[in-house]
Order: sequence, then structure tokens, then C-alpha cells
Amino acid sequence: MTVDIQEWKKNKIKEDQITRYLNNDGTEFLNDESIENDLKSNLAADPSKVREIIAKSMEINTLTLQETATLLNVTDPQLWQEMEEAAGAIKKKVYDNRIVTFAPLYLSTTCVNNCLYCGLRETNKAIRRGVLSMDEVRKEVEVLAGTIGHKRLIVVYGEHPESDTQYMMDTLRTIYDVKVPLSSGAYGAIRRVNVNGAPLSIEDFRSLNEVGIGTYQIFQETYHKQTYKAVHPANTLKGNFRWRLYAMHRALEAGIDDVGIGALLGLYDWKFEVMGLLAHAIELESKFGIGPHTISFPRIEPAENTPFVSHLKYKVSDADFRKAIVVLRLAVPYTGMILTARENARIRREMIPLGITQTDASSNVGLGAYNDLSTKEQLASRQQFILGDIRSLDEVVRELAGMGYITSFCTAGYRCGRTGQCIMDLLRSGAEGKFCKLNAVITYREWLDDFASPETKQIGETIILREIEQIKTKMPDVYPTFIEHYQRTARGERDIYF
Amino acid sequence: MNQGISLLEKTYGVTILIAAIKGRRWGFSGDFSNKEIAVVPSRRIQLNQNTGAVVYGWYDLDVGKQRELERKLLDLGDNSA
Repeated sequence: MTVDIQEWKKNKIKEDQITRYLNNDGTEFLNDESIENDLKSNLAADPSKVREIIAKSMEINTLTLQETATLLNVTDPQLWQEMEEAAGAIKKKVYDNRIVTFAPLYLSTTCVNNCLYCGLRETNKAIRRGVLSMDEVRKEVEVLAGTIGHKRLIVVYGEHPESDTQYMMDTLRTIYDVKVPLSSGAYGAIRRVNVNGAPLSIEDFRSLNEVGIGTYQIFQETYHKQTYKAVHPANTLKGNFRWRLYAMHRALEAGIDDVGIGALLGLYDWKFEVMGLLAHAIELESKFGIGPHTISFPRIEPAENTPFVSHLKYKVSDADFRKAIVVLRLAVPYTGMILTARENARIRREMIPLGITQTDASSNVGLGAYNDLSTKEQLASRQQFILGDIRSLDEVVRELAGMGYITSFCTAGYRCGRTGQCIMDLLRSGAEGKFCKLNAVITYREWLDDFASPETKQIGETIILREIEQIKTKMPDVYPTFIEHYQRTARGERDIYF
Repeated sequence: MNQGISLLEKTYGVTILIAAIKGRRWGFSGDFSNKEIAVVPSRRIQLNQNTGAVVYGWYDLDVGKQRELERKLLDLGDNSA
């Protein structure tokens, strides 16, 4: 199939699917000046005011922009310490000691955009491009689900007619169909596929929704308009700030009720980006009753032949990154927060206790890289950026167990109705946490038996025993059914869930 | 369908949520704000190509009642397909 790329680009953006969401005066929900003013005017002079805001967050309430600005302006180390402790406590209250794990899977690296910070930008000739065939997709998934043991993926597509909506639908169906027989007699399979793709029209989102995706994730990259304009050339699709800003509105209108937002930290002032993410979350909550399912806040990483990233004016230090995570956790207490393998192992160890709920492992962001048996190294020429942590899932699960966390492979919620507003309500009330606890133990049992090394299995067993004891004590009503499900799983049955 | 569901809930003492099915995804549809989702195992019953019912309290019913309820739910699904 030959597609005229210029023609395709011309028809991609539908102005009426932007304007319908604008304020009556034609403005956006995001107001740069107002955010800058909030940051300037809400100083954290009074510790009691800061503590009131922390208390509000501890009740699992979304903070206002002004309250969040106050937290961002805290300078007292003692107050920061209190905020960190509160962030950890909120994570524990809503998500307990679970960390959900996933892997990224790049399916295409062709792209019509030209973002200055991105290794996959159209004019970067140092990158080898491609779009995986269905057979290649299958082979990648066989490694992810059959050898590593992942149950959840985030699939990534470049914006290009070769990887347009139909390709996305075909690849998603292919991924869901892969079943890899395991030596235990069970089979490995991907149970939830989240998508990181370009902004689509309502019609395209609707088509994609029919396939049964997990979360649709789009990062705004930067919420600061002037910066956005500077790093995304105007003659590209991504150059349209509003088309991207309102993509989640279109997704929700199309019926995709789990959406993920994100900002690429390092393009502009990190405090502004935290405010932008919150403004986006508040807008989605107020317009659709559904806040973001996840928030991502990756920091810019080096990429092949991408000099822009070596001279960042707003590069985010580790100390500020820590603050960004803490404030986000407090500002949107019910939402999942993703910290990826862009960050190195030390940073991940340090940041996870601050409120992270999801992380990836055994990650490889090279096209076709999981099935490439020739090297386990990262090849810059086939990746969007360089990862900071390429440890195996087994190593990460073991480390998390050593830190007291249970790695959850649960994908139950979206397969039994707990999506969108329902899951938000259940998260706020604490009920979803109970479902998750039960499902985490059952899926951990599966993974330990099917994929863990002896060392990981050993430490994993201590985590399982502790969790079972907690369920017995804290959830006596459901314990008999749980233990029956658990024992069936230990005997080899798979994919039993609450 | 809503009236039929309410009646079945009263008759069998269960909570029933209707879900739109998209591939593997089941998302509750309609107003579920007044429904209590207890942390108990639920039973999923596909009513037709696009609709499913998630029944909480299913495992408190004896097998005979379970069969009866499933048949009535499937009838509702047929009528609304």
C-alpha cells in the first residue's frame, strides 16, 4: 500500500475535534500565565498551611493548583521530610506495598515528526528505521511472555502512515493471540496491552477501543506553550499543541476510559510541568469524571545523534526529580505513577518508596531487540534513547522483594469491569487495593513458579507468606476463597483472579 | 435491561453490573454509583457479543440458583442484542 505522506498528514488533524473542548472564549484549560502566577504567589511561608494541604492529600483528595504551588515552593527541609513521608504513606494507603511491572515494546520507529530531543525524529539519519511485521511482533512477544514472564506491555508506535490505526489494531490482536507453552505445562501470554501512540481522532480512538486496550498513553512532553513550539517544529503534526493537549479528551469521548498522561522533564521548569500535569488531571476529572489512570514523568535521556539533549537549560537534578515525584504523589493521590528504566538502578531504588506504583524491567527499547539473540547490549542506532537500567525482571523482582515490595502481575481490573470512573472510585475508597492485594499474591505465585531463578524464588516465598498472613488477618471474609484460588494456582492452574 | 437487572438483584440477593465488552476489556456501563462492589470473587457472564454481566454474590448461591440466574441473564442479553 502506497500512501502519500503529505496527504495523510493534511487529513490527520481535525480542527473541530479541538475547538469543541475549548473554553467559551476560545482559550484552553491550561493557562501559562496563571500557572506562573500561582507559582509566584503561593509561597510556603506558613508550615501549618503546608501541613493542612498534606492532610487533605492524606484523605485521598486531589489538590488544587494553588495548594500544589504551595508545596512546590516549600524550602524548609523538615517540611520536605514530612511531605516525603506523607507521599509514601499515601502510596501505602492506596496501593499498599505492590509494584506493578511491565515492559515497553517498540513496534515501529518510522516517524513524521521532528522533535529536537528525540532520537526517532524524521531528520535523524543515524537511526535504522522499521515497522515490525506481524511475525516479528509475535517473536518479540514470545520472548516477553514466554521467557521473561511479562503479563503487561506498553507498546510504542512512531507517528507514521505505516503504523497508523489499522496497524495498531492488527498488532494488538497479534499480541493478545500469542500463547507460549511453558515447561510447567502452563502457558505464557500477555494479558494487558497499554498503548503509547500519537494523538488520534475520535473515530480512530473508537476503532482502537474495539480491540480492547488497557491504557492509552500520550505525553504532552511540555505544558509550556512557548517551549512546546520551540522543540516541535510548526510544520509537523506534533507541532500542533492543541491537537495533542486534547487527545485524552477525544480518547475519553471515544470510550477509552483509562488514559495516561505525562511530561518529559528537562524541556522546561519542572515545577511548571508538575502544575501542567495537575491541570490536565483536574480538567479530565471535571469534564469526564475520570482522572488519569497513570502519570509519567520521564527525564530526558541521551539519544543517538541528538545534540539537543546535551545542552539542556532545564535539566532536572536528582534532588528536584525527587521533589517532583513527592508533589505529584500528594497532588493526585489516587493515580498510578510510573518510573521507568530510563532511570538507573540507584535512582529507582531511591524514588520507588516516594509513591511509585509501576515500573518496567528487562526493558529494551530497540526495534526487534527482545528477539535479537546476537546481543543483549543496547544499540543506540535502533533506539529512541538510552536506558539507564537494563537489569532483568528477575533481578528487579528480587530487589523489590528485598525492599519489602511484592511485584504484581495483576491485570484483572480491566477484564472484569473495574475501569475508568469505577476504578477511580474504588481506588479512592481503598476497595481496589484489596482486590489488587489478592490478585498480586496469586500472580506472584504464578511468576515465581514459572519464571523465577532459585534466589528470587527463595526471597519471594517470604514475601508470599507475609502477604497471605496479612490477608488472613485483615480480610477474613474473603480468605477462604482466596486461599482456594491460591492453592489452585500453586497446583498449576493459571489466570485465576478476583 | 435495567429493570430486569434490578429485579434479578432483588430476587437473588446479588449485585449485578453490566459491562461493555471490547476485546478482553470489560468496562462497566451505565450508572453504577449506587452499586456496592464487595471484595469477593465475581462471576462474569457474557450476555451477547458486546455486553456482559458481572455478578457479585454469585458464589453465595447454590448451584441450582446459579443456573437459574445465568439463564435469566442470558435471556435478558438475547432480548437486548
